[in-house]
Amino acid sequence: MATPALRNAWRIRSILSTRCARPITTKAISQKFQIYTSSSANPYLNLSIEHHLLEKSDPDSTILFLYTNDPCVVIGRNQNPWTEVNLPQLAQTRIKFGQLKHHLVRRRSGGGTVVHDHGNANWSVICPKDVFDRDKHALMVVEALKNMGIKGVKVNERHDIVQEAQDAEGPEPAPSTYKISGSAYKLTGKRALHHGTLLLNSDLSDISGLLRSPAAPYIAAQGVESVRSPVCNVGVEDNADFYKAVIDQFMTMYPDSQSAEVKGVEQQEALNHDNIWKGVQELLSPKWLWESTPKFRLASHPTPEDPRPRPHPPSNFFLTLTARHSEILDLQTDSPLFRSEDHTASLNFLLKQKIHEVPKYCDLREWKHYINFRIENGKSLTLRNESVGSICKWLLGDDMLATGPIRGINKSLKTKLKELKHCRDGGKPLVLDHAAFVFGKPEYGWYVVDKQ
Amino acid sequence: MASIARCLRAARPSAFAVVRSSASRTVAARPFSVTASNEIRKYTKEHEWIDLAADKKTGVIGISEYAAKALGDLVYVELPEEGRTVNKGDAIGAVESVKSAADINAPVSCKITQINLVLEEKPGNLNQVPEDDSHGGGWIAKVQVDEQGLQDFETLMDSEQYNEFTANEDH
Repeated sequence: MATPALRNAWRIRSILSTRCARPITTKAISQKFQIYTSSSANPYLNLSIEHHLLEKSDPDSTILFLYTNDPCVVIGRNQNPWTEVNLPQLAQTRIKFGQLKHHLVRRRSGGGTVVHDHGNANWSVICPKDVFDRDKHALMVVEALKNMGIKGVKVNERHDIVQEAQDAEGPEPAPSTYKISGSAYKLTGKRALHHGTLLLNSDLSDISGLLRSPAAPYIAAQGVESVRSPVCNVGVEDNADFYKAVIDQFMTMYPDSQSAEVKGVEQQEALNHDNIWKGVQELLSPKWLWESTPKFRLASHPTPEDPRPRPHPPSNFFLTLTARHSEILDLQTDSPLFRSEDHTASLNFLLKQKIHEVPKYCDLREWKHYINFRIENGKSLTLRNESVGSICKWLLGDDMLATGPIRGINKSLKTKLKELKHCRDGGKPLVLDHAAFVFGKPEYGWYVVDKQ
Repeated sequence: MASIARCLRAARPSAFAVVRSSASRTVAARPFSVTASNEIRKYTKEHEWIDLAADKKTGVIGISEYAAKALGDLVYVELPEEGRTVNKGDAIGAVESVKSAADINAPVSCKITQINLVLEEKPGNLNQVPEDDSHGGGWIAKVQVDEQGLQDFETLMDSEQYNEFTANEDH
């Protein structure tokens, strides 16, 4: 029962790539034109291979890198996970204990949030910055799609690749174009990276829910907000067919690259590479994921600065919270029922704490437990009334900043890191990982693919 | 970046007019100054600038008008970490515009002593007054410079050389 994704991985490896023991050597990355595909579906690893190529390759070289990731939600470098992602939904959808269906990833390039799965192919071009152009390589992908017989594709003014609507007629007004690939860029001193995601045969049912945060209506955030676009698949069954078309078009665009060998990067080889491993560790650290979040302000009710109506404003208190890089800088509460300083005194211990490190307050029992804990440690805090508990429940419970789900996500980061480290240290790949959540049974997982 | 700048060539003469006029203002305002505030400005090939104070111990850094124009509307400025000691060329922060995260590199070896927090609220200041090191300007950080930093400083371009460099980059 090989699934399409599994077949893809097989074909990509057997048809396109030369299997190299060590494809990312210093010599390889000094070539004028380089083409790589990745056999790993780990988003943290693939983004770190890409980053390594951006940082360490010859400044005059031009590189094409193609990969497919396991299910994940990828936010842009300067985005806010609390407003961009439905963290409770992300944390609830588990394949097995401790294993989330979607990883949460912050990438190094700019732009907005995207959802990946095996029906989504990632294309990435690295070139010298002095020839960088925001549309050039998106147009290359458009040409590749045309060569595959896909009609009505073009690059729009937002540098996205869109497809014109097939059947514009119908009772409901339908969008005239659907987005099939986004664009994001990273510029360093001498180099430019342009990457995008192409929806080939992705499961689109999760996307809309995952990208609607229940906390978003309460939060005014600095940084970059995603722009929502209707999306569709181009309907290509096999990612390898797309890879091949893009490689052909890259070679047409850069005739000198025709002699370049298409190199397959093995997961194990990439993991054992020190600089790539450093990149993986960075992406998996809560510091990178949460603490890169630009400053934001949460208000339970409309304020002069943020007058948007709130969907479910709490009835017995008013609260504002300011956080920068996940650290709580300011917290104000007010309530008609209780003296405001009582709340403030009781909540003051939250100041200077990182939101992603605050323990779970899903119910009052845990909240009391935490207060007792603080007292044992010499802090004279008293639980003044239950409304303090209800504030915490609202703020850090399952709906708002969602500290409970954050713990689940942090745990999954830790598990992933441990698992990759185990792999790197020469241990057998942990079979249960992708296997269990992608195909249901261990023996049908990536482990099987990697053994070939 | 250069290729975007190429499209903006028509806008560039006025851009440099701004740089020049602010430079001349500085000169006009300070001929009688006897304090150590007479700074020298130099540029890197990666389009950062640094003002070195006359005491040669402190400086202010930012990105050039040319780069700010080339990047387009900035939506976020990721500031350096205060207190961090960095080497010349290290990525110390980034700016985001049109889906692009562009590194800001340290123009010389230095220690970051203060960051321009206003830019987090108002990234547009970096588009409007990128080379202004006063309050409300688009400067990015204040730094402390040591012996190595001074040596690095000597290798950078002065504003005339930099103008020539960017003019060449456009062709």
